[in-house]
Amino acid sequence: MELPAAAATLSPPPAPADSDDAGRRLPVRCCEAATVAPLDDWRLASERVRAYLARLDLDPGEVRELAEAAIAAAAREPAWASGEGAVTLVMDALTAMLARRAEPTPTGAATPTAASAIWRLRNWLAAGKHPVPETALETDAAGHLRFAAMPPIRRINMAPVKIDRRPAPWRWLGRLWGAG
Amino acid sequence: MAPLSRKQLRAANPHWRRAATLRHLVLFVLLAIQTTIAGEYMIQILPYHGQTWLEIAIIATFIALFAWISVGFWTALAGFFTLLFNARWHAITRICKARGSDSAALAPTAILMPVYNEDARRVFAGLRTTYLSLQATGQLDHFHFFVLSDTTDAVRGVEEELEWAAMCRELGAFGRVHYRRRRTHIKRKSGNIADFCRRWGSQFRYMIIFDADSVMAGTTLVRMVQMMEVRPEAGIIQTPPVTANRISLFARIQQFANRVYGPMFTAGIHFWQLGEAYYWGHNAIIRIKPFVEHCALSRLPGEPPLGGEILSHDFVEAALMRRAGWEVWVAYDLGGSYEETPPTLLDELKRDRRWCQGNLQHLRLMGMKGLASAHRAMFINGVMAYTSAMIWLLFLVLSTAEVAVQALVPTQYFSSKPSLFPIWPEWHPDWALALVASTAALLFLPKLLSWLLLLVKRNPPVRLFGGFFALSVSVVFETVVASLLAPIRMLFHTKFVLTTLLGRQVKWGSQVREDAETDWLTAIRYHGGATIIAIAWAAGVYWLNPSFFWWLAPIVIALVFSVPLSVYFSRVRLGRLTRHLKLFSIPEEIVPPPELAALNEHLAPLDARQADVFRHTIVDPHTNAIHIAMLRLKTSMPPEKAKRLQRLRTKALTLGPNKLTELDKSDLLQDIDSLNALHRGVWQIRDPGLSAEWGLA
Repeated sequence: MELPAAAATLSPPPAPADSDDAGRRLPVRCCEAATVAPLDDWRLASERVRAYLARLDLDPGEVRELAEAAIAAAAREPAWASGEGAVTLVMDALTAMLARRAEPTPTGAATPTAASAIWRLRNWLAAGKHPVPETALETDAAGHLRFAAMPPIRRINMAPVKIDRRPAPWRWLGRLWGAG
Repeated sequence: MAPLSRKQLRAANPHWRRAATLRHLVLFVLLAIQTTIAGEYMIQILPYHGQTWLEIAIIATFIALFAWISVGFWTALAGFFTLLFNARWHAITRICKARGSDSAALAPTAILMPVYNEDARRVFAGLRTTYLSLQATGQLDHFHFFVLSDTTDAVRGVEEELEWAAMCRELGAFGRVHYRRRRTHIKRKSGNIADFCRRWGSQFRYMIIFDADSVMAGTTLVRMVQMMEVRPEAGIIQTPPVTANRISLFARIQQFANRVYGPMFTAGIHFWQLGEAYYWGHNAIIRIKPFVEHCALSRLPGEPPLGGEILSHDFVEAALMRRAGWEVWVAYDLGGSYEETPPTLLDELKRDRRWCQGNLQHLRLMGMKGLASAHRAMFINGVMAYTSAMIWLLFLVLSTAEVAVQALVPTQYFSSKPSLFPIWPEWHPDWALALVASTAALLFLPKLLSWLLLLVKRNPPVRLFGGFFALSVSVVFETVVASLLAPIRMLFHTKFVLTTLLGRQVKWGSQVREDAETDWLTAIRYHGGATIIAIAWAAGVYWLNPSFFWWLAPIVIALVFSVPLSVYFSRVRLGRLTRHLKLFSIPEEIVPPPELAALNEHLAPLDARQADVFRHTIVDPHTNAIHIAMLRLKTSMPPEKAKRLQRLRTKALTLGPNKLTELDKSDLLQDIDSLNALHRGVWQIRDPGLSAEWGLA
């Protein structure tokens, strides 16, 4: 079986230093993967990861680099052999990569997608013309980054006024006549 | 300057108080004399000179109506002379300038924009315009902007968040432009502002209230704060907003009327009210401390619609502020304040439905202790704004009944009581004509005076209204249009008053703020009944007395044609045509002020992908992250809700977004886990059809 077109265009990405796969030649794994994966699945995965990165307004070089790295990382996944789709693996690999870029690193039970949201937010803010003050963001208990959209609360009392109606004139007249 | 104490306020004994008391007395006397004369005339006109119950009822309704239109007339006349002779003795702008307001230092001020299911793009375009205008003055540091959302529609809520974040990023406004969305919408707009006051109000000395379509010039905002600083007795200063920026025919006519007649009426309101004036709920500055202490509204006793939450809170807040000793001014000569008018007649009527209930509630506040007499009169004025329609209709019905009685019942020359003389019915058509002419003068003379004022004062120049000819023709056309619309409004307002009194309350609906046209079916649905009634009425009157038909013709003809009038007045194409012909032109159209020009630039159209907010929020990596960063973390969730969300996520990923209901979307948009899971899941869909549905293809 031929190497999938998407994978064939890849150059070997630098593997993470702490990875078990560090220093290993990637194309070999891609070829092995291709023997069990449908060609279209790889093509779709490649297109999808590029479409996702395009929406992040990154420069083309960074898009290519991240896409290749995500596909390579997906190809190294053991789940690949058990029949997991290429799209899922590639997108999850990309999400994990983006999550690792996020600062502060989320704590607790945050999923990689939740963690990647932090990076996506910072990426979007960084693309603005003006620096964003640190006070504009805050981290909640689960490690999610949130906008501090309002200033700190300094509560004061605002008690509703009593609607005290003046006695109607006819009651006053009534009193003149001796009523009440 | 720090707020004055109540004792200091009382000791201040402002010089305008004497003038106000005298002016109120003069107005009362003028109204009394004028209405007495007109009432006497009416008695003479009627065939039995007020000796039948029917005629007594006709006279009573006529007197109420005549007194009501006389108030408008004298207000216009006072405004005319104020502007003609530039009589600004008690103008708050002049008083403050004399105290050195131009060089006064500014104090921390919050600009509040309460929103409720509005078009977020328009809201933030207006806010952005004001922000940039204020930035250009170099005084931005003294101001903070707060968008206080009561939006219930989840999708519109997301739109607001995205617009807020985009604006802050683009202008570097994080920490200066704030956004808050309330979960519980207690007391609607007044509750929204009160919530701000309780939590953040102590950090500011003043707040400037905006409506969702308000735009204000930075220089005006700065001037308002400076005026408050040098006038510590002032609690509220209201600016007169100019209506602009709409292009439907109806809206352009309303804008024209507001721009030509509005300044004169506002000057007149100022003349009679001075420091006991109106607050219209927006485009006004408020001193926060006394507002917090004296203007928090309680619920009215009893059930809605006349009890419960106070809807027209602005009038009440002005009255309470004054009751506590603080002044309420209309700065009639302050420019740089803009708003928009409803695009169609039906949209205006929908707004009136809400205002009607609010104003009728003021009946219950009329007897409140300690209110200034001017504010009690203001409440009566507000009630009459809608009940006058019912009284007018009653007057017409009674007049028709009188005609029917004359036509169908044989004349009784002798009453049941013993009498030496027969009762002769007398008709005085010449007197009737004179009375109609004088009533018409009260209604139309103010328009003529406004026109004259523009020609004499040339401020703004007549060329900014399209030139002398275009201005004059526009005034005539506007008068005709106002006459045609008056009977239509009369019927609707009568219906609003009756339904309110019968206990039906208004839902809190958002206002239409873009140029949307009325289609024929909608017009028939709303005006069809009026058309049928008018045809039957006209036919009946013609059968009874053909000569009376012509008296009634202006009213029934307008009602008969109410469907096409409503449709054609809503047309944007006709609005553009009149604009091309320079009819109904206003200076803000011909030479748009920088703020309105900038507003239109900021209203960039959305691309198709962003238009579907739910899909965009799930799919787009940035939008998804921004929305998640706006949500509050839920510490716990009932198991049923968690199961439902799980089902919805599966449904969304297997069947696509089009199979979700609005409620489904709303629930998903408010759950962080669902947003993360869907974002991951959607990008992993392999089915081409489903991918296309999510916008991935």
